[in-house]
Amino acid sequence: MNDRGHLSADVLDGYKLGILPLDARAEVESHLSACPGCQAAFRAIEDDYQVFQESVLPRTAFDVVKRAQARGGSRGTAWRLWVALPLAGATVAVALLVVILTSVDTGNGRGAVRVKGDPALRIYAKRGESVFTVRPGDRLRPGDRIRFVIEPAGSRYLLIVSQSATGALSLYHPPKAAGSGELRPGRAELPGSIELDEAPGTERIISVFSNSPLLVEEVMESLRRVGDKPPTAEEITGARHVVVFDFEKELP
Amino acid sequence: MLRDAREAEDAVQEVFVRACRHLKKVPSDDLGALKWLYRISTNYCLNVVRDREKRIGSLDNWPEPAQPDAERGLLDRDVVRRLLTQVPKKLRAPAVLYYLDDMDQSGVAEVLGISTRTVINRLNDFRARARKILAGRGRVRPGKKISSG
Repeated sequence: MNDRGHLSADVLDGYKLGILPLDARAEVESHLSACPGCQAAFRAIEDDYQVFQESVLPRTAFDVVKRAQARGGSRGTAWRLWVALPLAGATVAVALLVVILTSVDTGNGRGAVRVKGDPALRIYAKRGESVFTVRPGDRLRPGDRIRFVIEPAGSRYLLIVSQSATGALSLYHPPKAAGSGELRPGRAELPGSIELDEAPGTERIISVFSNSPLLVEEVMESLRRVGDKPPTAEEITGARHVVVFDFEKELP
Repeated sequence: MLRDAREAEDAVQEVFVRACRHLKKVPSDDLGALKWLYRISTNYCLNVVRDREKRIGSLDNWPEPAQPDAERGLLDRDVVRRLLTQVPKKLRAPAVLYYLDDMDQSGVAEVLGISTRTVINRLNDFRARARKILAGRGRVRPGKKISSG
């Protein structure tokens, strides 16, 4: 654990790769069970692994091995690494690529995962005169105001819903609408802000990106069916991508 | 750090190629290898950011939190990322590993192959410059540098 009470990226990578000593592994598991911020960071690493193995690797491995050989790398070594990549979880080669992918934070802190082509959500909070970026797991207070910045990445419609610690759902964007709001291409700050109420506990912000407008009631119904776990796009009819962002609300 | 998926993929490939080329330098133990990879990947990505800055100016055009104070600003990865191109090169990798990768000072020292004291000094220097930038302008402007004096 670092001096700020969180697990560092290399420790999480090492944990994912299964290369940590047993005692360090136990420490990571203990911390992960209690720290939402590190849980989000670890989920981001797992997502990056998946994207790498399913998308990046098959598309790029051949050219990369060719380049490695052309630059004087051993043919045998390059091919061994290539072969090892999709098969083994704990190779140096995988670590290399995971390190890069996980260090490429696309502006969403460590939690809001965004890979190529995926929409992204970023949350800013204002407390008094201070404005700061909210990271997953951060602690906000009643009265704090939050605003959303999104990158639609090709999605044309957006619906943002809040789920309180008790499971209550509220529509945040577009306010008081019956369906998704239309998006313009490119990064945008959504108008208006939300003042957080006094209900304590974990608040989940669920942004549902889609290519056609979705009815608020139908999305709410899907979310009720999903319950407490983070929803996926597959669980919401018509959704193209879902970004989930958790933060804590505490009394000042 | 790169905030661009295409550049990230390119970085993955380039670092992979470099790793193959310098395989003899890779520590034999897994954790050592992981730290070695952090070093070369961080340096590579910092070079990409620097080159991009030279070429087209910063792409970091997220709406900025108004008037972040220095201490709060350094807790914000976005602010740290913006500051990277405005401080001397030797401060950048320690700042990335400490603020973006959440390593502690000894971990940063191990990855970069420098002493913990040097890391502490460089992070202090980075913080001092961050305060100066944030206090001077109220917000971080891309592409502007402060003097090293």
